[in-house]
Amino acid sequence: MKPVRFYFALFCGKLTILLLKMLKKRATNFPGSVVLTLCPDFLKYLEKPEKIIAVTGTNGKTTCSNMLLDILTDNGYDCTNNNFGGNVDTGISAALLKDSTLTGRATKKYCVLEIDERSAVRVYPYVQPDILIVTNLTRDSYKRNAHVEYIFNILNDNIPDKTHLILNADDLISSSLKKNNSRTYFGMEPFSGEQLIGNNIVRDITACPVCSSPLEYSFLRYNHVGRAKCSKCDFCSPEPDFDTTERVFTPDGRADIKVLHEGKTEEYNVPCENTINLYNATAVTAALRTFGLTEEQLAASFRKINVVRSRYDVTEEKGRTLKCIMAKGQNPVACSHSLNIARNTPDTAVILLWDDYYDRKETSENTAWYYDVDFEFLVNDNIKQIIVAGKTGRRPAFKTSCCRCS
Amino acid sequence: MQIEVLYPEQCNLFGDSGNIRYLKKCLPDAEFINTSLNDTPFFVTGDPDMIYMGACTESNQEKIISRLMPYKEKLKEAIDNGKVMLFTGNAPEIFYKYIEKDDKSKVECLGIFDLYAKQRIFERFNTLVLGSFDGKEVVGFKTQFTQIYGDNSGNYFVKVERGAGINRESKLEGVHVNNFFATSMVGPLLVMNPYFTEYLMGKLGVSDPKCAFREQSVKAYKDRITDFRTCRCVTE
Repeated sequence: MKPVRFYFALFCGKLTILLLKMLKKRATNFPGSVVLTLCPDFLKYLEKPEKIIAVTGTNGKTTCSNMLLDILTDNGYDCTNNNFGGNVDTGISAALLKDSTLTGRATKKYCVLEIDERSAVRVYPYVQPDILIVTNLTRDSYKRNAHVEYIFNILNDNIPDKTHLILNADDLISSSLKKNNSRTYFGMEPFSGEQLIGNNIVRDITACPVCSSPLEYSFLRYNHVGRAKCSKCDFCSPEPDFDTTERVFTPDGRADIKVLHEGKTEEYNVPCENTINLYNATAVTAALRTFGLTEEQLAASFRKINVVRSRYDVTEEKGRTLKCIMAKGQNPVACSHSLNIARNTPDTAVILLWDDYYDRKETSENTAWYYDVDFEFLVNDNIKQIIVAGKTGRRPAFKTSCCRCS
Repeated sequence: MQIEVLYPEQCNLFGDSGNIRYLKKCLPDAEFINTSLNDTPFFVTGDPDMIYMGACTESNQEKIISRLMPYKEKLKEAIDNGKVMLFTGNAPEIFYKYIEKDDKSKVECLGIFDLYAKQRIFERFNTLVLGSFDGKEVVGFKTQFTQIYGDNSGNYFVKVERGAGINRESKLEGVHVNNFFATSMVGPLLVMNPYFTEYLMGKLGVSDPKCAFREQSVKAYKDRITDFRTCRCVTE
């Protein structure tokens, strides 16, 4: 028996959606905030779609969920989703509310959700994904997310036992989540001609979590992501079930990849070329093959889709190439990736717009995280010019690195 | 000159490793000795001029407490003898009496100072700090799960003008005894505070100390003081 407050919240939420539509406002978290204010356990009573695929992790959540949604839609699956940007409990409530009847029944059978890691406590007790991709766990905003172990513990304590996990075999942290859950690992072998970074300032796991002895890496791609084993005990990276073994760039900013699965090689043309997005494409491959798509279905859909342009965009202007790479603010790993792409692009003029407007809106910007960003990557012959904008650009974090440049 | 960095693989959160990278620029001739979790600390057998430790995760903090417990007297002796020591983030808590966790259980610490920490894992505390030490302004960031309690009125490090001291209500931050400095402030404390860095360099025996990239560092320091003094809010 559902409480009256649930039906009242449902009615008010539906009314809010209607009003927003009449006012021609875009979809937001707002209806979700309304229902959760009126009925804090709203998600408990709302019927959920039959099959839920979700994505969480530090970097790559949005890209993965957009890929999942595009490919499933292309294959005729009509999915509830929160790709309007709300990945916390209010956004998820708004998405599920939108695709429900006035009695709280789900109108769609399938669902793709991006779920913020810290929202796990409020979401997973009620919304239990059948398949959950964890892209990776690396250092993020100190102010919100503290450190990786904190986020790991939140996920480990709240991911439902029944959820099948799609885990990154090359990430020794997230691959250790929920030891008793069923799981599929994805990973990428070192590619021919690939420059492994390996020397980032930040490495979130350096010692064996079992015996604290040093880890030995067979390869280290970036930060702590690579394949390792303990120098003393049996602890080691798991073997990937979906392993990208080859990557050939195509001229349109895409890549042909070969994925080894159960001894057979599958071939896909994916809409990305940088390392993080190739991991995302491999994760999506593992998730959708586990979901039940065939290699042919997946390959055909991959060919049709693109990565959201606001995050990574390549344009040609008067014979010059402009790459726009959006990196998550206060996230040193994501920013280091952007700098690494610049370092590996020939004859580059780097323009850094380095200012966190939202962080300094009410207070003074916390710049401690600069010291975990690999500014050293800009000390490279191909970097012709560095232009710094933003209120904090002058501060010594950047100056220290610039001095290294000179 | 030898500077021991305790557990840098674990104690590098919140930009704290920036302190040592900057110190290497300030003291190019110094030898930096990294001690790993399974190593015997260098200060046990050797005599470093300075010991540094930064912020770490809560579980690593407990491991480190157990690793350092056998050397409690040695560390107390080092403090009494005026060894230069800098502990940032949650590293100072190791020297306090205990850490009280969410479930009220207590992790016994070295007990060198009569303070204790209350750790609340779902209450992240973020604040800016503007205060003074030795007649100069000190600026810093705090991001933590703990609040520190006890009386540090006789041995505080920074008198706080904006932001919080050892807890939300306190205006006295950290501990300063002889040349031992402990503060919850994280990140690039030394880069952000050129005069304090030079003060430490002086304590290490550098005559007429000048920190690295001094001109830029002082300019940014002054900008930040203005910013911290005038920004609408300091604590989140």
